[in-house]
Amino acid sequence: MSLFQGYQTDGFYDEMFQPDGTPRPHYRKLFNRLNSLSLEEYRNRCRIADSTLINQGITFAVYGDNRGAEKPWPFDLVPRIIAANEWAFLEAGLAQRITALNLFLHDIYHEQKILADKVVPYDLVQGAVHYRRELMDADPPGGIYVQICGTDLIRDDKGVYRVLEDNLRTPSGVSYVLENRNILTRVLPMMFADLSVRPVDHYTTKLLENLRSIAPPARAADPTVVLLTPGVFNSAYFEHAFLAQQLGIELVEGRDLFVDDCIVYMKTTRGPKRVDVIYRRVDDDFLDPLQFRSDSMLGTPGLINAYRTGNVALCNAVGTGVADDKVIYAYVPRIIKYYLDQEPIIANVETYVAADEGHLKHILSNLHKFVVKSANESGGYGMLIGPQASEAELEEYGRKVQACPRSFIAQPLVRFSRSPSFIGDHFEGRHVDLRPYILCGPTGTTIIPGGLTRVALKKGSYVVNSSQGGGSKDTWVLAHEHSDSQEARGC
Amino acid sequence: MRLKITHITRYLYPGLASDSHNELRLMPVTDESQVCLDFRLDVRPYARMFAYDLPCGRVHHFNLREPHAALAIRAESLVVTHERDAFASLQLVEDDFGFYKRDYVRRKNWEYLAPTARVPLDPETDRIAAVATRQAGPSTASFLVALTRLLHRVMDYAPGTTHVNTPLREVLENQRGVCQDFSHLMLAVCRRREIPCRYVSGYIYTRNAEDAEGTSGNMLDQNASQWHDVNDEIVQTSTLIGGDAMHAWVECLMPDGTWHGFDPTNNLVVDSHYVKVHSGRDYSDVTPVKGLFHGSANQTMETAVAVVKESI
Repeated sequence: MSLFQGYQTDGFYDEMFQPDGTPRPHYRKLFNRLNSLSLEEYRNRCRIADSTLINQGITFAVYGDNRGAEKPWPFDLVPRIIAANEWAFLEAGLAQRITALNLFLHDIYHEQKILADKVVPYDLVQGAVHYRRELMDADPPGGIYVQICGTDLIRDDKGVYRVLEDNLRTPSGVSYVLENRNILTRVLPMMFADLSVRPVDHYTTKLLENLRSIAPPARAADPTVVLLTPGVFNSAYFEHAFLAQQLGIELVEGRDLFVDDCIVYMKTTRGPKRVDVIYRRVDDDFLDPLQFRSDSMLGTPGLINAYRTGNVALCNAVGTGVADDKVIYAYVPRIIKYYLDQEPIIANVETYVAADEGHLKHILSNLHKFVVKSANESGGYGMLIGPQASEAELEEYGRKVQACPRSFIAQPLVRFSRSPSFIGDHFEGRHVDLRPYILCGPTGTTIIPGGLTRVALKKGSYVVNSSQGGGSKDTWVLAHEHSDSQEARGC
Repeated sequence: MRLKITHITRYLYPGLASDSHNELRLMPVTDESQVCLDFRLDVRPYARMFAYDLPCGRVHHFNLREPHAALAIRAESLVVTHERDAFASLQLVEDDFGFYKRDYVRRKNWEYLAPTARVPLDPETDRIAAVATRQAGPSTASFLVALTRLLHRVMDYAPGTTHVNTPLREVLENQRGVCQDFSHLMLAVCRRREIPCRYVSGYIYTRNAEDAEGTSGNMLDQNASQWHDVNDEIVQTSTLIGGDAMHAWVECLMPDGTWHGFDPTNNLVVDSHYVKVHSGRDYSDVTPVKGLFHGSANQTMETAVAVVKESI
């Protein structure tokens, strides 16, 4: 019996199936392959995947969960496939967006033209939690604020891709992209040969190249690059360790570094070693207690002034969080228009800003229809899903929004697309998003084909965050229009 | 007026300090009311000095890696302040509050209108504004003059009753404090009235210490000639006294688009006797000496300031 027996699309846009129940052309080969597997054969493959994950220690941590800090990464074997033309469109849209956001960051930390021209309100920028007033006029190495970006995309019920949010501070998850691929090449080796899936393993090479390129000019010949982690209790520590190892660089904590005369050194068993580039996975607030939070013991005193002096590069630059503020998000289409004089290639989700009085009324009287997000929370925390909330929850959240409108945005609940996931002993549709990883360097923008597809494994859930019961899938971008498409049109 | 300012800050660390990182906001700005002709910093033990500029002034910074038992920072500035009638540019007659309703003014000066950790926009301060309004004419300047006078009258200047982190609410309830508290309170009142305003650190020249009660504790004008030319060691043992070395006041955006200083601690409108060093949203943005070090936290700090008028 087919594992797809009884599979329903339930009126959602399904990544694999067309509304009439037939597989989309670019999924045809995968469907045939999966459809031919017996339950026992499929479970065998799951076991191979699971044991690989456990053996390699691929985990993540959830804050405030007592059942053990580290959890195995829930992996769903069925890949998500993106056709070549679709990817070309996404690539162009993502490059456009990050180009505009980098121009925006440079502007608001220098001339502030966009504020003077009233395209983005002053108060939204200057009042943003992650706005770093102290770094006005400080130039990031290479002039690029965001070197590494993870942009969350969803697909609405018509199959249209939309940007859900930008992650411009310390986006995580790319290690799972690399690991997921690693696992699937073992579990479904035949498919790769059949489908010409574009590789992702050049990510670390490109990242290292970019990191080395922003070293202070005097140190450019052989710069020392390190990865700065908050430490083993951070939810993404696995990724920090993984990437440091893949990049062949030292993994350090704030206490492993010190600053002397605006030069950063790493303590080593052979004495101090000068550090030129820091790929930091630590939020701005915890980088340097002299500048930001004096109560924090995580940071390295003097680091920001060393950065300001140009003796060390930080990636991403300090202060990028102002541009991934969820309220600023609502202005990104205008930001793209302002700097590039182009229409956004990938649209936003329709968004209401509570700071706007007209919008606020509309939000409060339609709370039950909206997804309401707090401006500066991430990981799916502090969010209200109106259609799924109780009266009491709606009321309480309404009060929170009224108390501090600046901090909230509302969006209609997007019925985003589903993809088959293996649940128990058969396939069922589950909601998925997509986080491509974008690298900006001196030679331009590089986007590794695909990205991380996250899946909400709980039935009916839209929350894909790993901290809230989400899993992930390998994401395949096909190298060219699928050979099946001709045949598909034919029959 | 040509003023020479000597500002000494000295830390003693009974338990030794090491890996110390410091930022100084001690250099007078050059703007439409003054010119900083010369500025010298001397740090003992010796440290290499770095600097960067912010829109509201220059910041110097340095670090000391080796263990040390004391740290002395001597800043010497030579500033020429322009003679002016402090009231000449103030429009005291007509109601000009409409200026502050302009969208451009509000947005452009947003950060000087918004609450900060030290200056929450406490509705309690509206009572002060109401009294000042009753005593003032219809113009912004007359309101600010009345407010300056009112704060001076109602608040007790009482060193030692507040500390650097005393909340505004407590200052309001006890009606006492030092120049930092007077200034924060004035900022809160003005921001509640939607007048953009900023905290200013600096020095004040007083021929006679009694002229300015707010500075009597730390303005060592009468001693200045004695240690004008002597070396650090003698100065530090003979004339240093503790306390907040610098003065603070408030600058408000006036309806003519200029910034004007008001000193509620001394009941004065800022004129050529004042030397402006740094400005910001509140004290946190202008902290004259800010640092971190490794070691036990039982350090003591002494400061001394001398402002001497030089003949040209």
